[in-house]
Amino acid sequence: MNSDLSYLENEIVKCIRCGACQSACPVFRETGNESSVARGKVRLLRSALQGETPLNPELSDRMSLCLMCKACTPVCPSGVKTDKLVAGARAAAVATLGLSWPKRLVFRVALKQRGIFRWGLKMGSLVRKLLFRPHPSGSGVLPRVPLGIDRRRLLQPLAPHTFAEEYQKSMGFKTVPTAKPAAARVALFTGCMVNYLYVDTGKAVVRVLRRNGVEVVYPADQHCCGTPVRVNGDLETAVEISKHNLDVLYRLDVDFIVTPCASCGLALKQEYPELLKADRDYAAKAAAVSAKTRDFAEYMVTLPDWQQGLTALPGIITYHDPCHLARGQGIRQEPRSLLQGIPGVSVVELMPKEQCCGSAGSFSLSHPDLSRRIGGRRIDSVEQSGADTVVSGCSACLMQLRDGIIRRRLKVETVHIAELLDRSYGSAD
Amino acid sequence: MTQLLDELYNIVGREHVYSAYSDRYCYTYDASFCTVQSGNLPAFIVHPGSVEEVSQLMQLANREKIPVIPRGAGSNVSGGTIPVRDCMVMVLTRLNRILEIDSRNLVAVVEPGVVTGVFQQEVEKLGLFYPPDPASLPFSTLGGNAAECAGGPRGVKYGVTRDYVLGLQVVLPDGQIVETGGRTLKNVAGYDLTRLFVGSEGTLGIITRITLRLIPLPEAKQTMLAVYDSVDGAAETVAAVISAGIIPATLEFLDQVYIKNIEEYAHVGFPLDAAAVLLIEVDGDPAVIEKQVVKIEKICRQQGATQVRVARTSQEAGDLWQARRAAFGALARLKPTVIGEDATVPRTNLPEMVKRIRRIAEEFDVLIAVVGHAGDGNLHATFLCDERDQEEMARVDQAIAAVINAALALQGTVSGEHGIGRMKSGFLARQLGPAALGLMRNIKRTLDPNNILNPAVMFGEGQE
Ligand SMILES: Cc1cc2nc3c(=O)[nH]c(=O)nc-3n(C[C@H](O)[C@H](O)[C@H](O)COP(=O)(O)OP(=O)(O)OC[C@H]3O[C@@H](n4cnc5c(N)ncnc54)[C@H](O)[C@@H]3O)c2cc1C
Repeated sequence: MNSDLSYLENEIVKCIRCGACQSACPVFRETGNESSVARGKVRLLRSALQGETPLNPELSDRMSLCLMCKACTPVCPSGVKTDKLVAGARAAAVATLGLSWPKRLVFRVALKQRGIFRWGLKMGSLVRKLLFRPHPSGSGVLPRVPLGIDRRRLLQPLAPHTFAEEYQKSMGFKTVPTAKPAAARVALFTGCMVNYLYVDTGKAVVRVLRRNGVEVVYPADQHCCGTPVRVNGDLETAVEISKHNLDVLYRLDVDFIVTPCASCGLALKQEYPELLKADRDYAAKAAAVSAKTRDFAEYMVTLPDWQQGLTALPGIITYHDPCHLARGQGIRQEPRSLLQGIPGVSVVELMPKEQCCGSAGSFSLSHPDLSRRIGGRRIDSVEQSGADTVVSGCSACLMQLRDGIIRRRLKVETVHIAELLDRSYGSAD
Repeated sequence: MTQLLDELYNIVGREHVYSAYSDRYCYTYDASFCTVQSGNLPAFIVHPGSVEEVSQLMQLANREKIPVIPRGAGSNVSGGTIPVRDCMVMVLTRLNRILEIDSRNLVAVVEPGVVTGVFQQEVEKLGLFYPPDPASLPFSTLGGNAAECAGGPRGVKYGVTRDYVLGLQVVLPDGQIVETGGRTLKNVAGYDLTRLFVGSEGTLGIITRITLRLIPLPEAKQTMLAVYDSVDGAAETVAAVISAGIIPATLEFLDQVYIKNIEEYAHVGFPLDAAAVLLIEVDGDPAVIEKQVVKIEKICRQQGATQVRVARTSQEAGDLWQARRAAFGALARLKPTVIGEDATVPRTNLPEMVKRIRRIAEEFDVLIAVVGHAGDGNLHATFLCDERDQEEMARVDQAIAAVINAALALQGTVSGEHGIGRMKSGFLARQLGPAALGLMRNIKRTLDPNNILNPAVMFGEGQE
């Protein structure tokens, strides 16, 4: 991979400095400072490319002020993909300046070595007790020590057992509870959030799919999708992780690969093919896996009888569009169709539409105040909507929204769309 | 320097002052093609939060003779916010409150940082209308619009920003706060200072509050599109429609280069060999505009339109506008650098102007597409080039000068709505003559004796 910025040049010169991105960027909306909007970042990169601005920690810091939410791309008249530029700039910064030590520890050591990763999981419950304390509300945990994480930040606790473990223990051996022969066979790609934190979401996905006559297989050696390392500029690790996942997924005899995670879906569909487009062996595998990948909601609405057996759920529901689902994959209507298919619920829209929740993965940890201010605007929207339940297709969004909701002491539930469907089918335990 | 910084911190608060290199670098450009020489960075970027802070900042700047560049969204295309070395860039976007919308007197009072489109949405919720519609309205500020006297497609019927500004609050270079105009439509108390500051491009004072005139929102509108195989047919249509007593809300003209590219890019159904397209919108009473549409359609056909499409639904109207909006993306795809010129002529000289532009494009071997607000003669000759190609850029520079000279020869103006900024200061004398230019310089000197407010724009002094 390139450690200089020259391969970004064609994207950079497309920016005509009109400033339209100012109306879309959630970070700029909070700071009002030109260096945090797409136009500013693109200009800084252009100047770095010309050797005028040094690729130093100050520049890295400005590049860290991006949510990768893609809000600037549709408003850009020349279609500059600033999120790609920022990812490229972060990669160049990693190549030049190296990774900060906590990131190096996590990305290069823990995430890459599956052995250590597993050990870390086994140790999970012990580590968890040492590092986190329960939130007084009883929902979620708060960090005990700084950890580079804001200590007031609510986090979902690590699950006592990962989805992978639970699946091995129980679900994997359950027979398919349907009379019909399997209509299709799909592989489940959970992503880390579901595997480690939101295990119930994973279980709900399996139950809902099986109920619809779909055979679900869970390849246990799947790994983190690599998005966190890629967006933080560690392309070397991102490539390694993507190859591992492609090896796991490519050889499966399945019709589709289904994921309940917006960012994992985007990675499998778009990022892997792009990361590996010049790789002789893996480009084809990436294309094949990409073609088979479906987001959970996107897949559900293609099933013939999904509306059958849904029972009424009372309440006013609103749906939060994850950036990586709506702008990333163009999936907007499918989740809404699912919600409207549930009897008894009334669905209201969150206005303004498609605003980033401000979580943006590690952004919420590295820029907690900004992240919370951006999230606060989304909570304003939730309040104005009058909804009692916020549904989304991304666990990270849900965690961020939960943090904001608890902070405001609102009586609003947050739930993944798969769990809501599961509940409506009456199969939740 | 550190002492100055401390003073700035005291005035606006530390978090509203930026002095790191990366932050300063990001205020060295605007939407124009103008660039500063590296090293000519501003010293600080300051975001005041009240008129009092603006006043204190100006007093400080005047005392220390620090140049000040007022700035809204930085979307101007004339180099109006390009800094001079070690200046203070004063960003006015924190002053973004709509203070009042008075629907009985049809008046609104706003701060300069309010985004044009946001303001329009708010007044439209009350059945009111603020017509000036620069294409940049989703992000430009009302302060920037007033300082540039921005226009837009609706200019032909509704006029430009100047026609809606009733009064201003302005901080002068020495920090004094003055109020101009008022909130009445009729007002002849003293000289018309409001008009002096509107379009003054940040060279005479900082606008801190604007009183705007509103009108009732037209009940309905209808959109239509006519395709021609000659520019003259389109131009004659414009003249004939207006002679028939109809002033459309917009009369947008697109030339063959635009048409071809839009079609190839967005597939909206234009004939590839069309020479011109008119996008026409009428608004007002539904019964009246229904009749107007029939009349306009007839006129279009009489003037040789090969195709006339009338949008029957708002969806269809949206599709027609979609074609117009695709124009920019369609061109940006061709070449990385897009320079929009805005020399303007009386509308009857429009066909001749288009012809001269075509000739200039050939002469200098440059790619020029023409889009225009045909109803008011405001043309945008759009230069498509690659800023990295120095030889090409030299030809583009010459062609731009030729276009401006052609407009002047046709009784036009060097700039219809984009402003003089830095880009056109060299042409100002030609249009104004020495006496008018001298008077303007005297006004500038009287208001700003130390020449600290946006010193490099308008007259081209101290440009580096
Ligand atoms: C894609 C695009 C389309 C455009 N379309 C149009 C169009 O259709 N019609 C049109 O007229 N223009 C158009 N423009 C140009 C531009 O948007 C306008 O000139 C707009 O008025 C600038 O507003 P701004 O807030 O960005 O001001 P800025 O660019 O920040 O500033 C413009 C000028 O005003 C001064 N200024 C800003 N705020 C203040 C203040 N509060 N007090 C005193 N001086 C101030 C600045 O010093 C500068 O000289 C377009 C630009 C782009 C990029």
